[in-house]
Amino acid sequence: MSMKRDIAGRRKPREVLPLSPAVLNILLALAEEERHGYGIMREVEERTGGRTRMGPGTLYGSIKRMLAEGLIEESDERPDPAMDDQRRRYYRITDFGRRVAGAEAERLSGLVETARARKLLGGRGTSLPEGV
Amino acid sequence: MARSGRIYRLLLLAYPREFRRRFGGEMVQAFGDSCREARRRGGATGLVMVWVRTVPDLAFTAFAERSRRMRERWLFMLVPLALGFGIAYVDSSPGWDAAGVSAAAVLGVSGLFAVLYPARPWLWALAVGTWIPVFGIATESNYPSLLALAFSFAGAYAGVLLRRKFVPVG
Repeated sequence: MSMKRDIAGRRKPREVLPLSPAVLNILLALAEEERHGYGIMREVEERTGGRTRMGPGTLYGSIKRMLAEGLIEESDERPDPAMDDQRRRYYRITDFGRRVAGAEAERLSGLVETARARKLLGGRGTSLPEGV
Repeated sequence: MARSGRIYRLLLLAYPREFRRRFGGEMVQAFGDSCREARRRGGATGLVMVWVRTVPDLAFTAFAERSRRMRERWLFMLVPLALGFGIAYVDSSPGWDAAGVSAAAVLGVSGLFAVLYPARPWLWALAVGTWIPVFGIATESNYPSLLALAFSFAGAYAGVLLRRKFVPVG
């Protein structure tokens, strides 16, 4: 059995870490609910107060790799069919994607703790690096 | 706004065809939504700002997708090159006297790759069929060995025809 898999034969989240800021942002956007591409762009922009804006190229380049890695999947359900364009595709986070996002959050949290212990955070409390 | 969408759709040609087919429609839609929202919030300036952000994003990601695709393709090319080399090596060995078997191997291997990846049959034909003439001409000035290329091209294009017959496009 590969060392990269756990007892149940599933891939280990650590195998795909660290994540790029774009991938982590997409996972965070989808952790809440299923969204289409523009919905993800909007959520990221609003959540980061406009500091992170993803273009369609970055978004769909990341989505392509995330689908291949099994972090997200296409959803057949349409949250609001009456209000929506049938051509839109919705994406949702997978169980593996959720575990990967959690592992990455823990990794970043560890880095922040180290930065705090070494007094690198100054008076700005728990500010995370830009783009996260 | 419609003009912006048309220009963006045209710029998507910078991406590899497979990427465009899979995500092009969604990208145009997301770009159109961004333009509408920016126009509503900031008027013409908002629209200009969307373009200012989109052009570098498109340039960098299209380059990344193309270079990734190219890397995969060239790594994959090593397989038919190695098989073609192997066939030519056996064919050029002193005890080998079965030219028909070599020709069938070249035809079959080229055909197999063209069935699997029918976009560029000439590339598979060259990768598999070049080695026999290279060995033949370099070691024995055997110019008739160029005939191996005819078999590799025949195999590759027959592979494409088979693929089209049994796997309809679209």
